Amino acid sequence: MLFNTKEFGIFFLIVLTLNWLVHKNGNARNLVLLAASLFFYGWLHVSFPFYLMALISISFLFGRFIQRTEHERKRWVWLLAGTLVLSAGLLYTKYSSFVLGNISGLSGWQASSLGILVPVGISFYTFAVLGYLLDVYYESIDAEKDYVVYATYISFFPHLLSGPIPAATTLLPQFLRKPTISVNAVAEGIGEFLWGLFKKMVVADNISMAVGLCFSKNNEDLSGSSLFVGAALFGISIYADFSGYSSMARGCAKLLGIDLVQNFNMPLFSTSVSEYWRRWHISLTTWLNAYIYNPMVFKLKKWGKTGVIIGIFVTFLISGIWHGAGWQYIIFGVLNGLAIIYEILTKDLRLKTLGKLPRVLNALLSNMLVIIFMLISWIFFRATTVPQALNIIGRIFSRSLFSLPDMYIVSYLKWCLPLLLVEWIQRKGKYAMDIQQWLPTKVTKKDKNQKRNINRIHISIKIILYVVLGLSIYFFHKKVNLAEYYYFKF
Amino acid sequence: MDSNEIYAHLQKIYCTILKKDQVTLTDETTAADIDGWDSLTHMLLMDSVEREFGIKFKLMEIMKFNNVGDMVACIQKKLAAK
Repeated sequence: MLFNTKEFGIFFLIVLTLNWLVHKNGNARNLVLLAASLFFYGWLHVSFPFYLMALISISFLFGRFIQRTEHERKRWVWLLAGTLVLSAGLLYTKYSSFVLGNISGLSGWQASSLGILVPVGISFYTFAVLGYLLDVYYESIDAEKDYVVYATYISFFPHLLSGPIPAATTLLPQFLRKPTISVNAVAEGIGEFLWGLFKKMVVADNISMAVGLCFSKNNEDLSGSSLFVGAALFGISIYADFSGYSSMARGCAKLLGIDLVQNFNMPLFSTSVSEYWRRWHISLTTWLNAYIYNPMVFKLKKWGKTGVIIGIFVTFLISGIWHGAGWQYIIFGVLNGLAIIYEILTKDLRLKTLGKLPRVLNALLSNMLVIIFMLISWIFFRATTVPQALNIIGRIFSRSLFSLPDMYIVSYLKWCLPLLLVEWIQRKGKYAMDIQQWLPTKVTKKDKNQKRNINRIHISIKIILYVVLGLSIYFFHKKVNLAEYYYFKF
Repeated sequence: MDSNEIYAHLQKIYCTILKKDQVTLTDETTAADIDGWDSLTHMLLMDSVEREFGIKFKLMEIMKFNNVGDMVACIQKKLAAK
């Protein structure tokens, strides 16, 4: 059941109504959300909820074991045992074929060839349960005593399939208290959902055909310049696809009275690769930072900068492996890790040289370099094999890069413009549909009329904005051959 | 050592590691308030703090620091136990 389908619309309206009816009773609300989430997941495959519930139950028990054990060594043993058991499903379903394929030299041996059914979203919720266990171990939170609360938190359908990866410290407490559904939250929820729908259905879906063409086996006729445009389209496409899903997830959650973390913060305008990763898939970066990078650098802190460099390299290697079982994902992760290491090592030199440039020019140049680097690394991400990625990169950096690109492929750039324009205008806002920043905020207490007028303007602008967005989605969405959400495969 | 003295030492460490002429630290200061204090420099700062005060943090303690005030309280506790 995808967010942009009629089935989901009906399902969500029913859940919204039930949630509204029972929202004053926290226990009943959690039961409604848990049942809805299991139904939502079972719609994809009847066996998926059973696997999810097994993972939830095991992590719940291990959390309790860690909590009630005082001896440090035994706590660590519980953590290790829990981590191994919880990771086993992910490692088996996603990585066994890759490992066996590499050992036996059978290139291209896919999971399906071993008959393994990979539960959608397994990487996301496995990281969620592991994060919970680590939070209990580090005493950032107490192990949850209420099984229904914990199960509702992990299985919550808006974030289940594609994140944001939930953090127990901020999200779990929201299922412990009665939800507060305010008019502002509802308005924000609708705005985020519509903007996410626009990014997915108007931008990502419409340019998917050109991206498919550039990355197909039949791309021999395309020049370097056309492939470069194709790579740029893929960069926008994956951003629109994944951040669109995250926006819709946040929108749905807000309408149910739950506040999910922001997963993207206008990453396309970053001026360094490290900044890009602070703005892209924020929930994954936060997870890796808290549970891989920090503990590792802590252990190596005597090594100073060398420890930081090793920590970054290993963290990005794991990030690459998390994204998929394939050498192209590992190269994607390593490339990004090396780019950040380069940024650390050359920081002083770059400040002395590029720092002398006018601020705007410096930001523009840095942003262009980041985007070009990301486009190259995204090619590995999109290509089906490493040789295909190398072939495309080799052809981009050839003489034909300076020829005129194929106008058919260039024409698809028009779908990217509204997204880039809106996000650039809103780059300092909390999210793309945040109009609060443009309205006057200083209102004197005496002037009630002024406050009322501002509220009226605020509501009117939002209504107009949402209607325009809704109509744009209705008229411009792609009607045939809809692309699946790219990040579902992770 | 009182908290003012600890803050004076911390300010010196932060200036050295973050390569700044002046850094203002208060109980409420967080990494978001200081340019350059990020995940890349965080552990370098912690290592320098340990050396300066002759103490050892546990990872669990560092994970729980919400602001500079939490860190100062932890340093005070460790110095008192010495």
